[in-house]
Amino acid sequence: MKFSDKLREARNSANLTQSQLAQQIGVSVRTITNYETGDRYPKKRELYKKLSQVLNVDLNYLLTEDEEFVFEAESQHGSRGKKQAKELIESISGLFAGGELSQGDKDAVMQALQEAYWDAKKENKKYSHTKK
Amino acid sequence: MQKKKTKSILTPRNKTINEKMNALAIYKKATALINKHKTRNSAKIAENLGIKIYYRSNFTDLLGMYTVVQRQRCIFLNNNLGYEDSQIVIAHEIGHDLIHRRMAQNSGHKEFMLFDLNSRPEYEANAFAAHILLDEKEIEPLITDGVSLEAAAKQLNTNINLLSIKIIEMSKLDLNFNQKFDLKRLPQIPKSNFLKNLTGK
Repeated sequence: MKFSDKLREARNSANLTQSQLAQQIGVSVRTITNYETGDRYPKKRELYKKLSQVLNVDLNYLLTEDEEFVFEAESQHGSRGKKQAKELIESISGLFAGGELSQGDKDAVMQALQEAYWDAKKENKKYSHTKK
Repeated sequence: MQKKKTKSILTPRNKTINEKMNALAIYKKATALINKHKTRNSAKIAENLGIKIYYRSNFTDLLGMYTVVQRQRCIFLNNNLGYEDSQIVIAHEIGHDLIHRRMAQNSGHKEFMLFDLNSRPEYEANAFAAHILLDEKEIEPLITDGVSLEAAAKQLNTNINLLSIKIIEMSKLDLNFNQKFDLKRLPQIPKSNFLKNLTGK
C-alpha cells in the first residue's frame, strides 16, 4: 500500500478533514493534498512522527517499507543508494499495475526485493575497488 | 505453441523453421547444463550458476519470480511448495535466466512472474524446465508402448502438463519421435499457464 493511500485511510478513520490535519501538524492544506494524491512525500522524518501521533497510527505503518527502504538506502549509500532504491520501487510498482497479484503478494515481493538489494550491495562490495 | 498476432514478415515455412531452431536452442542449453553439472536437481543447478534463491514463506499465490537486482541474479521462490513443484518453478526461472536475462536487464527490472503466462518467454521457460527435469530416454519407451499420458506422468512421478510440453518439444525437435507419438493423443495442448494450477500449498 502506498503512503498516499495509507494517509487518506488513516485521516478518514480519525475523522479529520484535510485542513484540520494540516493545522494540527503545521503544514498547508495543499501539502496534505499533495501527500494524498501521491505526488509528494514528507521530506523530514519528524513529520512522519507528527502524522502518526495525530492520526494515532503506528509510525512504522506510515513509514511503509518502501519509504523506510529509501531512507535506509540513502543513509548507507548516499544519494546513489537513494536513487537505486527509488528505481527499484518504481520499477516494481509499474509491474504491479497489471493487477492479478494480491496485496499480500505485492508486499511480499517488495520485501524480498529489498532483502535482495541489501544482499547484492554487500556482495558487490567485495568486488569494488573503492577503499572501505 | 500459442498463436501470437505479430506483424511478422515470416512466411509460414520460415516460421516453423524459426520455431524449430528455438526449440533446438532451448533443448541444447538444457542438456548442456545437465551434462555440465551432472544433475537434474534444479536447485543445485541454480546454486552452481550463481543464482541466489530466496525462499519466501509469505508468498501466497505467487509461485516464483526471476529478477536481477544490482547485478545479482535472484530467484524468489514460494516456500510453501512441495519438492516436485518447487523443482519445476526453479527450473522455469533458470530458463528465464538463461534465455531472457537480457530482457530482464534491459528493461531495468522486468520480472517474470508465473502469472503472466500467455507469453512467449513463459512458454520457453516451461519448455526449458521440461528439458531439465525430464529425460527423453525415459519417456520414449513409455510412449512407444502406448502408455497413456496420465499413466506415463504417474510412472515418471511428474506433472502431466510438464510432460505434455516435453512431448511437444520432443516432436518439434524430431527426436525420432514424430511417427511414434500422435500429438492428437495429448488431451489438450497444455496451456502455458499450467503452473498457475500448481497447488499453492
